[in-house]
Amino acid sequence: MAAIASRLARVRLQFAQRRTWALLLLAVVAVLYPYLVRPYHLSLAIEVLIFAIFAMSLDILLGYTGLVSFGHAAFFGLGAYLVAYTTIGLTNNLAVTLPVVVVGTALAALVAGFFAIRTSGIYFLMVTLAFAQMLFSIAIRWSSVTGGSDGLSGVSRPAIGVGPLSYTFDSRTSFYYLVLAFFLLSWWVLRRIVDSPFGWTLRGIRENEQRMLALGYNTFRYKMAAFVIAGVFAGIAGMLLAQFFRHAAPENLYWTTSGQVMIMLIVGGTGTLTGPILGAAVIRLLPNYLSTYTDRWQTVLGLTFILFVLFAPQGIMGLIQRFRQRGERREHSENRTS
Amino acid sequence: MSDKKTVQPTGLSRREFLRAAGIAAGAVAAAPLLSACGPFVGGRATGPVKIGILLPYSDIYAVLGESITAAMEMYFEEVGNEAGGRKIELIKEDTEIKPDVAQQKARKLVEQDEVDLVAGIVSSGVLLALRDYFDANKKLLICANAGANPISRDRKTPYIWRTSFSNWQPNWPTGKWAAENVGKRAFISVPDYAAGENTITAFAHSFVNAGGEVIGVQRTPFPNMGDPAPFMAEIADANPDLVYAFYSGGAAVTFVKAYADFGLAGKIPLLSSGFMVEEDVLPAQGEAALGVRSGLHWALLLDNETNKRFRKAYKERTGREPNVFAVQGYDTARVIVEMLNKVEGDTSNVDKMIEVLPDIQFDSPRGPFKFDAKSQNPSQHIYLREVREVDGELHNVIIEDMGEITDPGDNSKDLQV
Repeated sequence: MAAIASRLARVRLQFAQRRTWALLLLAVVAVLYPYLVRPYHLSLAIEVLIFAIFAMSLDILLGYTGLVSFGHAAFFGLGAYLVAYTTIGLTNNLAVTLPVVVVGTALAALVAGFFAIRTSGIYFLMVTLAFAQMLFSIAIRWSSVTGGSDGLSGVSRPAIGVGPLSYTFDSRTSFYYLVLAFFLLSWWVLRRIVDSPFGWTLRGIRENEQRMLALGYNTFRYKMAAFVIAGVFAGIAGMLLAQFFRHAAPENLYWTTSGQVMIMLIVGGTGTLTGPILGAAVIRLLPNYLSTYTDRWQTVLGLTFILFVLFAPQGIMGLIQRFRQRGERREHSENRTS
Repeated sequence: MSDKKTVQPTGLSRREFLRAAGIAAGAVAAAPLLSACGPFVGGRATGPVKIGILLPYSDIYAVLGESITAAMEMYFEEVGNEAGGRKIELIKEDTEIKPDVAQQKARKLVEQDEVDLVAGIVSSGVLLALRDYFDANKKLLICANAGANPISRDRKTPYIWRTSFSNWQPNWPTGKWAAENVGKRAFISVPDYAAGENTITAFAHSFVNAGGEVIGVQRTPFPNMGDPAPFMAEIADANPDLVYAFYSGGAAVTFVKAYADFGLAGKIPLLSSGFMVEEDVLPAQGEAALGVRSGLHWALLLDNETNKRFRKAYKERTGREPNVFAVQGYDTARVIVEMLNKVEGDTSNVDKMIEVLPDIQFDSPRGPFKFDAKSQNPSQHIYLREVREVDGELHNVIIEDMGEITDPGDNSKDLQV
């Protein structure tokens, strides 16, 4: 019995060491995915990747900087509306729409951040929530521009290049690759950010802001930068969603969307960047499968959250880590006895 | 959030990342070779006709979704769950009232379950969000409720047909009727969203053309009106000849009750779009709703054979009185069955199914049912009704049949105020 357990532990450890290969395998599967599954599963994958970008962006704020934003949908929805408005009125070329989204959400994050970051804790949460709800109201009421409660429909898929050298991501497979590219790029950039001295400063602020101030860090600026970065990546996720659904909806700005992405973080594990990806997958896929089997799917979903909060407060990533540590510990004791 | 958090360094170096990227790029290049053996299998001539149902079964519109479903299933059972020589199979999905959830569910039905057509849709926002998907995929959608005007007008697509109404339809004839029978100075109160705006422009057009004047418009916060007191005060201050309003669900109860509580009922006549005093909200409104007059394409007490039979059967089945949404569900099922009979169960060609839709005519609980081919929406009678006490219960009694009303298919009969 002990022998089996120790062998298992060793396998686990070896697997951990071979993480790179696992990632490579994952990359290959991701690339071949459109040819392995039905189109419906491809669209689910697109959704998961888009929400993974969204969740990762919030992790910068919530997980790494310790700023609990309850209005992150503001930037997600803003990205969706900006690309919808630009695409319908001007062009679907990414060379135009992407900068519009990036600059637009960055400016909005600057303005919102300027006020929100002066507060902390529950006040920060309330200010960000208020900002998002304000944008929601505008989307509902300024119907000549935003389409009101109906949203903006008729958003075409993005294109790149000019003239005869242009390409439109019209097919779902091509759009999947575009989203995958955005996802990998976002993941890579955000990884670099959190592993940089800047990222460690953010962690410092999360753990003890007073101390960071005493060390001479201008924490306001750091938090501001984190807020803008998070806003821009949320905007990019919103942009992709609007292009995928060909529609920008006021619900994209609503507080339930902010809540949903926060649940993704809690389920996946905050401050890990990988956790939010897993959380996005669980939260987008679970209701989809559950609701096919039972009308009471919301109850099941609610129970799942409660179980997570009670028994796995650090989410899926926390579970994985605990699992791994146990393996290492067993391996360690095994070596000592032999 | 927990305070103790373990921070771990990343495991991927730049070289490893590049290696991964290289392999990924190689796989992209190889991928098209595999595409020839894709797993998608289409085309199914025999076996059951699969109908995807997209309705809200949770959240505030759950009652509408359940009413539509119950009546649809009732009709399908009446015809033995068979049409065009094939069995009928329903696959139901909950859209809530979230456009993104509806998008996911529509894809599941069309791509995973490979349904032959889709029916349902309660909210206009969801309908407009799905419009491009059905258009691009050439899949037939029979809309059983959502009344967004654009679907019959500038956002029309051959693949979406509506068995319910356009938002314009019940309001336009009521405007003329109000100017001729109630008064010339109207005050309009609607929730501040698209359907509210559709209500204003349709009512105002015929009301003003019949010599009336809109003296004030009030757009209340949507989806939650909040405290109705300031809105009631505004109405009292304006002192119009009549108030025209459009609210549904909980807001309809709040508005109608507040209207009575503030002493406006009995003083200033209240008219509305029929949804505000439909069977689903009347019990909660109680006596406050007495005397409210409204225009709609159906009423519980509408005197025709089909309606009587429908009402009895629905009550036996569900234990409740039917509402207008149930009627729409019943007619949706009937349209689908008639269509399948006409194409003899051949659902492989969507154009053939669309082609037979304009020829479908039958006696519905709402009176004669037929499509207007231009607006892809029913051409139907709109009834002016009044809430009265009938045998100890509150119901809408029909005062006048305002005739057959067809959506103009453009915005020519709307007036911005």
